[in-house]
Amino acid sequence: MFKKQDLLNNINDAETIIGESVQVKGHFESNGNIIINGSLEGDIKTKGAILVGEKSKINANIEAEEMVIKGEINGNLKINGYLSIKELAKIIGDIECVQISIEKGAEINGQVTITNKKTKNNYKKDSSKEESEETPEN
Amino acid sequence: MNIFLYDDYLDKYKKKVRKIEETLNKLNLQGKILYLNNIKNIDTSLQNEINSGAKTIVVVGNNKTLNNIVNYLANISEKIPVAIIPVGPNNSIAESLGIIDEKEACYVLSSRRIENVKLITANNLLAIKDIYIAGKDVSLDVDKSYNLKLQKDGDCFVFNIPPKDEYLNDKTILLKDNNLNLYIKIGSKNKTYLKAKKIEINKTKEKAIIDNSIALETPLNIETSNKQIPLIVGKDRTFNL
Repeated sequence: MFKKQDLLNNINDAETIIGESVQVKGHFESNGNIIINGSLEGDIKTKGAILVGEKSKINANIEAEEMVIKGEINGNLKINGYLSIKELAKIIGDIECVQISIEKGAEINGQVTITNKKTKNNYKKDSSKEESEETPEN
Repeated sequence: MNIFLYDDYLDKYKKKVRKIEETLNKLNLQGKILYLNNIKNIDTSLQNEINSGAKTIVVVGNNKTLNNIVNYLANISEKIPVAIIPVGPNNSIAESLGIIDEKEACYVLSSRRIENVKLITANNLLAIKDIYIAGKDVSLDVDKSYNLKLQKDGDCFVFNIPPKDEYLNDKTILLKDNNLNLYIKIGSKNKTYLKAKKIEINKTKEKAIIDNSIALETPLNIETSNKQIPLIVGKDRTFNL
């Protein structure tokens, strides 16, 4: 049964980690969870979750199941599940996701669209067990 | 029959070699000894021994000896198990296979637990365990999809057989055997890890080190090979295939 936080809780079991002082350029595709603490340019696609660390700078369009953002992103985001934007995050680009939470202090410059359904990798949903959705501030 | 291949440098370890031979005798694992410095054509000698009924090739030496022999054996069609009895330093491959020292290696040989290990190619050379390169200017093309560049001095490993202790203590990393596991360490905490099928180390002044024993100039093309070698491994060594 799908629970909203499952992927994010397991983000430590990352298939890919991009560390600080490492620069990645190009098309990055994965089936698992990704942790990004370095810089990345291009595009990212994964069937897992992405954690963007505080010091990371990303210039890319991103597609993922779930995502936590603490760093800077310049690009469009398409998240098929839950997106968590933390207080230090800065996003320039359009966001599409199913659920979102935005902490006070986060900066978003773009259009935020909350869709009803997951577009890919549909999980069996048990809506009664999911946390309530927060509405974006802008 | 067991064929024991003794490396040249074993002259410095006569006591250890004598103890190994005593243990092997105790375990009824005698065989034919070939001294590598006496062999002019290794591949012909190995083929002859296999044709004469060799059941196991036992390399008595270090990483360099094992890599050298595996590079010959991988091109021979008959796949017979290969064992390592580590003597002296530079034996990280044995350690990765779950063999701590020469005495344990004799018991591992006796148990004969075999795992087929896919090799990786680094240009035209086969590697068993890993490829290493250090430096700030290291730039890698991964799976022809993206480029990865180090911005500070770091240690860059491409593991085929991940080490058992040093890096696996880090539970956030799911290293997989029989994959190219790229692991970059910058300082003590900063790490990068990813899996790949093909990695190209772009030209840099630093040389890449294969199996901690052979230095190769860059650029270097690294990929998983279709060549396998049956290796005799320690009882606790499992492969995450």
